Amino acid sequence: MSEAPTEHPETEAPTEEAPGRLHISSVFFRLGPHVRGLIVPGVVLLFASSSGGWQSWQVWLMLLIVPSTIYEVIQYLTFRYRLRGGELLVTSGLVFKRSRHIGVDRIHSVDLKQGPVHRMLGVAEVKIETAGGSEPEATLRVLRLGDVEALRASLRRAQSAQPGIESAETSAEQAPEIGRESEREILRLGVPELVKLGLVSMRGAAIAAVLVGLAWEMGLFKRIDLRDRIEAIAETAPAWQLAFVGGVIAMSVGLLLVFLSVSWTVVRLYGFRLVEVGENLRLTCGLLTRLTATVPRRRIQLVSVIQTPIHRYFGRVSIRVETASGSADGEQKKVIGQRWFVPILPAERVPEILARIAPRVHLDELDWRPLAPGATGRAVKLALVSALSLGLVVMLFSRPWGLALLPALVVFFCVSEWLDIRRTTWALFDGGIAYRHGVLSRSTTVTFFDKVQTVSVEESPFDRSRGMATLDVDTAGAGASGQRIRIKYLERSTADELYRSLSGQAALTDLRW
Amino acid sequence: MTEPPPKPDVEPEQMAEAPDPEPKPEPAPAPPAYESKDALRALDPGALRASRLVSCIVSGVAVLGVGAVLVIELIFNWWGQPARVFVWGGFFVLVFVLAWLSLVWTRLSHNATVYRVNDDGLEIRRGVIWRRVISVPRSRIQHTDVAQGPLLRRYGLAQLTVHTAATRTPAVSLWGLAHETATSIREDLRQTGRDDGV
Repeated sequence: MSEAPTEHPETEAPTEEAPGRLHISSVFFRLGPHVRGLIVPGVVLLFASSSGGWQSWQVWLMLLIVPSTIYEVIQYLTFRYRLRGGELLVTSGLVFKRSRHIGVDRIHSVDLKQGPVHRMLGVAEVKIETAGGSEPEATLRVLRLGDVEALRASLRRAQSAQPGIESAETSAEQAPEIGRESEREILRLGVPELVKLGLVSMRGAAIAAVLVGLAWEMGLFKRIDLRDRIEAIAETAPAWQLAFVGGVIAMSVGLLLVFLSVSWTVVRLYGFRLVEVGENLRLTCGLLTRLTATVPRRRIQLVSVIQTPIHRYFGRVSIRVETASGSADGEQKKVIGQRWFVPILPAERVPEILARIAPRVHLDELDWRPLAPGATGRAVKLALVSALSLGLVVMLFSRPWGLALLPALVVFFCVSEWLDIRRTTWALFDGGIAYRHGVLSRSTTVTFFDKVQTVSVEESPFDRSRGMATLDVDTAGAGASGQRIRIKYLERSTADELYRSLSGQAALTDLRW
Repeated sequence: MTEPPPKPDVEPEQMAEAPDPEPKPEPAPAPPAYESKDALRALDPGALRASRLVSCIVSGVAVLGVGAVLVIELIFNWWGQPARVFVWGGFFVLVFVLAWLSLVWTRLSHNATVYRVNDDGLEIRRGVIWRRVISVPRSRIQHTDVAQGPLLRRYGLAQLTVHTAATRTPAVSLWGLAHETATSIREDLRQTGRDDGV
């Protein structure tokens, strides 16, 4: 913040344009929440109750829509955005004026959301994100598509006019791209891939839960009176019939879940495209609601390549990235920005795609190093203790079950820990650090020296007696993807070395979000 | 309760430093943060007294509360004799543990906490049993706070908190630095003309 004054002299060139305005339909879209909150309950009441509707306060609340409309119309009429002096200036309001200045070089992403109605009208909701904060820095709801393109182009021009940005890292690659709209496709996902993704991600359970909840709300269950029915049938029918019917029901529920999951994924991610626009990565997807997210390549804090057992069955992986903006909130971010950066990808294409997303990382060429030699022993011992205590807890409830389960638990825990430690490796390369672990769900996580925020080494009494330590590398925005770099059971000397080299390298490089 | 807070020997010392600044304070404030860059430095000795005082107050309140309940019980005789023996035994163990925490543990914890400020940034080591070293590179520091509650003010101490954009360790703090040391570290860590790259 303190550098604000020094920024101004450098901003001779950036575009000075006429202020932009929202599209007229924005009044309609912005009224949406008010209508939902004020009108809908009132109307429902009017129709639902036979006569007494007029007495309830919800109905009179509908009148509040008039001031809301006036407010939104004023908002629409006074809303202006413009690019001036390296800043995006957003002003609105008649009585209470609001103006927000967003430094162009602070903008991390410009995201678009287009519902079906938006698309009919040729408009889009634009969210402008900076680092940190769970809310977008500015929401332009809604802009004409042409205006969006103009805004993006002028933002790009202004950003490339900022001296701090192009100078570092990838100037050679970036230089010819400036100003031009050269799109290079990185990845496109067809329907077959999306079907596989639906099978992998199994969103069906979540959707089913929502449906059941809705049905409950509407009182369906009360009317049917399930329990009486089931009891009546159970008394009369023979056992094998019951088992058969139960099996059929279970199978059809399972199939329904799979179907829901697949169709949800296909609708959500239909036409998935990842393209490279200059130094930015742009993601587009969606059949009904079309989302576009832009992630500048240099804003990527953490990259993970993840493979679950189902992924492995199909020979696929997914890649997630973390950026410092928008935290984990917001549907848009959750769906595409971070959660599913590359939702599904044939495993053999990882190096090729990764080279486009994070050119500094070559996973195959890294010098992968193991954990401390004694790590396996410690991990297996810990697994043994936890398996035994879990078995004892089960035995408290039922002795035969506990006795039967105990060996299985011990074998499962110990073997999976043993495999996990053997598979866990790390590598230091000239750009940062990589960490690979996991038995069933495998992941490889990479972060970069200029993205490292803090480095710490932890040492428990058990670590100390065996000369080991835990290394923890923290970055901004670590968490949304559930991946982080925390390496246990390192040799103490190795951990110290890594600590010194990471913190030293981080201190050498300026923070680049 | 468990131990009379060592106020008497603290107060004259601290008071002496503040009002008559002739003998030492002139060279004192500036050097500590700069002189021996790479050496690990301990917290202010006053911090041990402060944390002992805090610990004594907390455990004193706890002991007084539990003791009051026990005395009331003795008067009204709610429980029988055998239960009372265990409860009073437990009470004395509690007093002993709290006294140990206030006297010994605070010193161990105080001695285990060291820090250094060098060209790379701020490094803090702490922990008696579970040990941790954390390094915050200079260029990652978003802002620093120097805070002083009534207790810390009394001892001329402060808490330095360094904020970064990290996810799990967004704030790293050092409790119990001399106030001048804390402010001089803050000045030292302040970025001068470097791009924070946001």
